Amino acid sequence: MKRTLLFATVIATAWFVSTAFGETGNELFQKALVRERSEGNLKEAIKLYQQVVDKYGKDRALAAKALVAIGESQEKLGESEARKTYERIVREYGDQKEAVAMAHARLGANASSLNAGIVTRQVWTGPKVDVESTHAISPDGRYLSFVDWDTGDLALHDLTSGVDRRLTNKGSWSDSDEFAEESVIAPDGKKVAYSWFNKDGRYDLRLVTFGSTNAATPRILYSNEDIAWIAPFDWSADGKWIGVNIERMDQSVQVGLVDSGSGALRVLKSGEWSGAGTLAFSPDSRFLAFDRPPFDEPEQRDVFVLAVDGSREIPVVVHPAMDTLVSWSPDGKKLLFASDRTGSTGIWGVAVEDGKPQGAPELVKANTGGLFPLGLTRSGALYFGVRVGGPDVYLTSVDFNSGKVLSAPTPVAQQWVHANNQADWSSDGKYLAFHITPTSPAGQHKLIIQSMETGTTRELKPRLRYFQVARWSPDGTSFLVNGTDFKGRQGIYRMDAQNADIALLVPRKVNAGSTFPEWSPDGKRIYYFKQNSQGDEAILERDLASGTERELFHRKQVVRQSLSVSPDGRYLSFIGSDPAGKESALMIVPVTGGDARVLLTLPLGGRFTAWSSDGRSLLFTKHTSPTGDDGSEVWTIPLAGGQPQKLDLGGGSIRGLRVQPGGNGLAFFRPTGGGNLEVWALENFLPASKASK
Amino acid sequence: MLLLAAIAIPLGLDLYLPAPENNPLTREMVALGKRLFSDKRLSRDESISCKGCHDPERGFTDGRPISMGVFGRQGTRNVPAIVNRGYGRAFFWDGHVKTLEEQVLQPIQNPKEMDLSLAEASVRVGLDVGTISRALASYVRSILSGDSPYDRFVNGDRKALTAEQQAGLQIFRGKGNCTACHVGPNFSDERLHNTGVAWRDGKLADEGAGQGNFKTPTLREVAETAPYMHDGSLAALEDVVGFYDKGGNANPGLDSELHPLHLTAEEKRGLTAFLKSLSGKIIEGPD
Repeated sequence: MKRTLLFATVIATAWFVSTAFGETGNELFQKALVRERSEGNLKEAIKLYQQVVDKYGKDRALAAKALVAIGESQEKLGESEARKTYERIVREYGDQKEAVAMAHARLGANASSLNAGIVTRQVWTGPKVDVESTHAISPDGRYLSFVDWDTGDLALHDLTSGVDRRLTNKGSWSDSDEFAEESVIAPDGKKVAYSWFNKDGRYDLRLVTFGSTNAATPRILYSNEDIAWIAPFDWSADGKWIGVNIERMDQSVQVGLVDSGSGALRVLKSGEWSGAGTLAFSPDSRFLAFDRPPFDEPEQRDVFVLAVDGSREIPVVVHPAMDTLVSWSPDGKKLLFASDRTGSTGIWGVAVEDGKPQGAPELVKANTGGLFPLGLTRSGALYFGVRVGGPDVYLTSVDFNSGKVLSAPTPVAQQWVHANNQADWSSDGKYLAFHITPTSPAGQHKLIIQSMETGTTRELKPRLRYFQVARWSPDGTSFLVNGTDFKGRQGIYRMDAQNADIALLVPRKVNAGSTFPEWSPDGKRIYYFKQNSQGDEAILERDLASGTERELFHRKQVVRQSLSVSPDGRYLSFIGSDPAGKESALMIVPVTGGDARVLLTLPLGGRFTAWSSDGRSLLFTKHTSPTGDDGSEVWTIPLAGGQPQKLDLGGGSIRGLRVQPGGNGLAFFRPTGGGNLEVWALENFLPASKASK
Repeated sequence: MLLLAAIAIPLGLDLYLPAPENNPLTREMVALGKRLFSDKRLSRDESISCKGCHDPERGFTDGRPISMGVFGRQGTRNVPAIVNRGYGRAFFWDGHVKTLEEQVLQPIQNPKEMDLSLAEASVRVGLDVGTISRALASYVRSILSGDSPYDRFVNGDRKALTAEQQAGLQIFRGKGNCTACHVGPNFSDERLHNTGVAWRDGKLADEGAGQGNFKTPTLREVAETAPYMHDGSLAALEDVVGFYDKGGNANPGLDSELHPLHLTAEEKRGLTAFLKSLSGKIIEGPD
């Protein structure tokens, strides 16, 4: 069962149970849930759950549920009290079968993880944390490489001093669109192999050597025009080989080894379209472990071990669950993997000898949630990244003429908390569709359609590996999405609103960037962004019947997310560079062609625009800092002239403005809690770990 | 000894060549398999061997639309090329067999091919059936095609393909949508598709794996393996390109990946030229 579904079920169940037992208990439980799930404040959550037990103990189902939550939080904190909590549930709440079953499962299967001595500690938080593109802690546990997204440079975080420094120096985003991505520190702790998105629009593999204070000039280790993406995931213990994942220009995928000296590539294994996840060398460097989906099963992954001499591949973990590789134990006797086979994601271990599994997997650490493995140190500490919080869609109502907010923003989704974003309205304004972001790296994206009258929902799961920004067709039968299918084909897809069938409308080149399509009000044309032959950002119109494409506007820089069509279909709004190319500006351009009109310059920039339902004013987000990371404000400006008005929607970041057709509803999403990433270390969880790597 | 230690995998193919644990690729078994591959005693009338249909000089095919068996019996389908089958996951045109070890025994028993019981085959060659199976599978596993102009091109030699072939490669990967099925180093997704080849006069002339589905064949050495399709109904590569340009043959089970391509004459020539770049170096046997 996918973790996302399970998470949603847990939230829904909690909501239902607590509602049934009284509003106050429910409120307190929800408050605790928010502390736990969105803020990651486990200690505070435990206190609140305990209050639920103390104050509302007569409601035994709610109390038992709260005790389970307490036990789970204690486990996450590595507290041995978790065992006592579960034992109490079994002892005192025998009538609460579900809670008792969960407690039994924890007590039975999690014996090792409930032992005292396991330590989980947070080692890095803050806006710079980037765990999606780094794959290995330095062997001494001191450094993590990461991408500094302020510029796109490769950087190094010193976990001891907390100091960050850049290992590359590409200049600002306006100087260069290039950037670093996946990276892994060498066993000697002095080099980093990393992928680099280069000026030709594809990735190459690079190597940089660093000292205590400086870094040498990086060198390109492997570059090939037929390779769209290459990413390093691990080094062999002797530093000779770098394990890489590759995507070819034909969208096929490969696992390979790159010689760290000569740069020669040795392809070990090819797949059609579904690639391997994390790669990890065994400590003796004889094997490379990885996870991949079995044939035609995108929602399942299994763990395999491949001999680096190409002699054999061995399935080590085969199970209907989502099983993803974490690492080898330092002595090479165990493979660690994350699995949701019990209903919640935990870390499991399976004994391995000569690449072959020995016996059944055992749970090592329960309830870790979706994690980004960062490898083990020589001392046997496992480092991993987690995402805390996430986006939520909010709904408010606004008098667009006066700029007055008529109702306070409230979250739309009852489920999928901190995982829902990018809403859009049906043309009759009665439904909202919003995108669900997977909460684990290998999860699947989906779209939820929610009735605004009844709150009922239905789910669309298109056969897309990835998609974003669904735009509902005026006739309600389909959506436009930016997406990539399971065969790696990127572009604008039309998704059926009933059965989620997909059809590729506008293919786009590999690595070309998202297009953010919008419908014309009559549904006969679509508008989207694309880079033109001069390298400018262009807005294109496509007639769906004929397939003909027409450029409406181009400018050196445009914020791609900002395209919005006026209700009468005559204008497009967006945020681009002003005619002098110096400042960001809120602009509109007629769809019939002609000059763009600058409505307002935005010195600090902005990102999203939306038309009021009567088309008389335009809403836009305005950054409150140059990067927009510190927050944004929503403003409205009348088209006929007049001063812009700020909407009082509170602080923080606001994204994805969508106005209710014919109404005064405004949907948007907040990346709640920043969608923060954190790095944690798990220590003392392996018996008698030995340093061998 | 393990053959992988001695064999050089051709450029463009994976280093990992799958083999079952009970049949590791050894020089001895490949050599034995090669001998059996040419042994006419494995056919009832001792008139044909495996090699009779899988001729190394023709990309391991026979050049006929439909294969010919013992006593001049007509087969049912075109002889498939057997290069790089060690990387395969499904065998025969209908993909009904999942291992090479099982596959190699079926033509021996097929009345329209070699028409010999396995018991008799065992007696004739003096080997148990398991050994025959493992040896033949090992030899077939050793038949590898790579190091083609295409392989050299995608590994950095940008002059390995002509301009026309490079244009054809772009069609292959883009407008032609060929990589929807012919993907990866072996140019096959090893899956089943209905292209409509079997649809004749409003019905299926051959159900294949069911509903007119047939396995995607490799395109390695495709220029050497005419005629084409499961029934050998298309004589030349130009015919195949023309077939797919029309979107295959419309029928109720037509694969959703197929649609009219509207290729220009120049694009068709480029695509055909590209397909010819997939002929490379074939290695086989223990040497």
